[in-house]
Amino acid sequence: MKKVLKTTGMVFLILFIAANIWAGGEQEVEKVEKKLVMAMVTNQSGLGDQSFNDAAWEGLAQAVEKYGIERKVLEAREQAQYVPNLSTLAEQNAALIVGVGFMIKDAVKETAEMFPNTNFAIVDGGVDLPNVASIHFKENEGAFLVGAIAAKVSKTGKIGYVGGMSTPVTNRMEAGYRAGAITVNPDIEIFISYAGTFADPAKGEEMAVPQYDQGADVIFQVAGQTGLGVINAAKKKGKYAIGIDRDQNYLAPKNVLSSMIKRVDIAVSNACGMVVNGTFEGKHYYYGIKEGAIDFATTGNLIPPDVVNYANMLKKKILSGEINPPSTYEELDAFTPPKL
Amino acid sequence: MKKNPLFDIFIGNDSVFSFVKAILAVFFALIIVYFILLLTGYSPFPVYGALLKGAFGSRRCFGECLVSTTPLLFSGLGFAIAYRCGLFNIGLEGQITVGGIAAAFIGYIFPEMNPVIHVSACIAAGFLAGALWGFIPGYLKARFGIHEVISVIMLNHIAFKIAAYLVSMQGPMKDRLDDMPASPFIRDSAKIVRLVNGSRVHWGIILAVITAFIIWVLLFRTRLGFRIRAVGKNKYAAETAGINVKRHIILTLSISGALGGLAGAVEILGVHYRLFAAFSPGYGFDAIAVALLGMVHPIGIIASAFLFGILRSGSVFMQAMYGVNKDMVSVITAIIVLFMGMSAPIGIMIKDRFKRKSHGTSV
Repeated sequence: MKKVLKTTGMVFLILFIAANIWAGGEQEVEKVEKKLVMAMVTNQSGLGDQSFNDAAWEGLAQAVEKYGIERKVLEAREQAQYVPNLSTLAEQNAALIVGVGFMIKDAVKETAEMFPNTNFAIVDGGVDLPNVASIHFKENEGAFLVGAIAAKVSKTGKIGYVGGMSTPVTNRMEAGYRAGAITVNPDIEIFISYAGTFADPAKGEEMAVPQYDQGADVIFQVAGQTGLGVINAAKKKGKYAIGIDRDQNYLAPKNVLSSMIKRVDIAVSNACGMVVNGTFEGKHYYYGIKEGAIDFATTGNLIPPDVVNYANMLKKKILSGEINPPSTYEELDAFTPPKL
Repeated sequence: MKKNPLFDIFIGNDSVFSFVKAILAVFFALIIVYFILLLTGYSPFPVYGALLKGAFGSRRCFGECLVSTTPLLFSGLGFAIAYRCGLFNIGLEGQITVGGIAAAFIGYIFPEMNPVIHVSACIAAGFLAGALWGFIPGYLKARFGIHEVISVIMLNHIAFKIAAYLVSMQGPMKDRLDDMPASPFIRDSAKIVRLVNGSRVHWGIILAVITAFIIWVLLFRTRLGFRIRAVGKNKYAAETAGINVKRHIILTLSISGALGGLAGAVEILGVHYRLFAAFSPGYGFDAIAVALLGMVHPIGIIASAFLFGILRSGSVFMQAMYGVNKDMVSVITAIIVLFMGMSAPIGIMIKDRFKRKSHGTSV
């Protein structure tokens, strides 16, 4: 027994020394100068979601390049963790704290009231406080464009839409998408389904397959990880899917017709810039086509050139205010397709 | 036989020894974590420091620690009482959810009123909803012999989906004036008051500790508690002794569920102030570890729930100060819990060693 204990002790001691030497090289990096720290708190999907959180993190990376700040992230695993995460960063004197996703809204409000001298920003949500910048996107503009593209490309006159959960943002995209489609073809048939989750690719495939089977040949997915299943279904069925948030053509180069681009990174790095330049204001910021934050992707050249031209023409009309893509179901009901 | 003074002080006394065991377990865990941290490129001691700082560093941090202790304590007690009756209630998460739904509903549907009445009504609603969610599997088990594990898992799913439906965009409890998939805020009079300024800790923690003592009295100082434990030890013997086993199964699962319901109600009334679909991040599942670590004893559970609270709030700082990856944080906390669970065998090992030693000297 004694021997066993002694040997284990020795083994641990050797391991201890070895590990310390091994790790020694990496510990030499010591921070010399104090940089401005800007941080973000993710929603429950966390980093690596290939869309929203990653885009915000990229925005902070751009700010590191441009303004020489230091970036930091706290990943929340649960609703109850938002407030402690935000407060911890505020206590560490972060110059800007970005909350990602509308679920974090209450927490940003609570923390911003607790730390009135700290700057906050929230992506996809609105908080009316002097120290919170609320960043909104006009997804309806982008969805309108991909809706028009889908309707133009469709040979069957049937297209589909798969949403994650039914939220204000996904509803806004649906409204824009449908308006874009009926602008091209008033008689088009549009299948709508919501998977009820943003995190289940299998569910996404389950939603997409029946739509393809009923004749849809293009489906727009607004479903986070669930949407990856939609793209998979498109691959299996040899039909088209439209990606979301980032250019998702790389997921299926022959099947991802286009993607609705939402440049969360631009908005986040802009917010960082405003803090650095001292122009930060607690108000609502809207990012759309005009701000270069909403667009459609043409990677893979799957969209015929005349359709690309057509979509660009619509884009100009949205810019000039000639077309106002609806952002809610009510606006969609009141929407009359413009004569083109 | 020569007496070893160290033995008398640290090992002879049972209550001191259980403390010694726990400390040793944490010590071993920290050694393992030390290597993991080094090999993944972090310096261990500052990270340990961050863990402690995150739990005790400021009034706010300590408050966070107690905030997560509260639901863990309630649901840990819920698991324990069922376990003592020989029942495995992994349905606490569902019972927490229905408790939260009921409390939130009573919290916003009535106008402002006397806070004592309003809070009590909300808590009672959560209690009853949880009790119902425990009664169903209890009845199914007693009447039809359906294993409680199967029925509570199904009831979990039903509770989660009901909550998700209620606050979905078209759901009946959805706040129409707000974007969030959440219920309206509860009235001020339904909120559980915070204990101190600058921290989220609320009176729920006091209520939870009192509940722990009540459950202790119930289990170990009443006839009902004796019967519950008798059914748990051997239900055939209990039946022969004239205890109505079926009735006690139903009753115990109802109490267990009610404690889960309390956890949910207090979480809504004290922390979130409104209902979200997944407001409980798995407290009901952690409750199993909390209860077993606390040796299924109410007083032990107070300690283990507190330990889980420390780990939860401390882990925020590990991320914030040293950028430790969130999954790494989970690995670290899981290792600590694992070793805590091993404190019993560690104790036996030590006792064995001392026994052999004293034998050796006496020969």
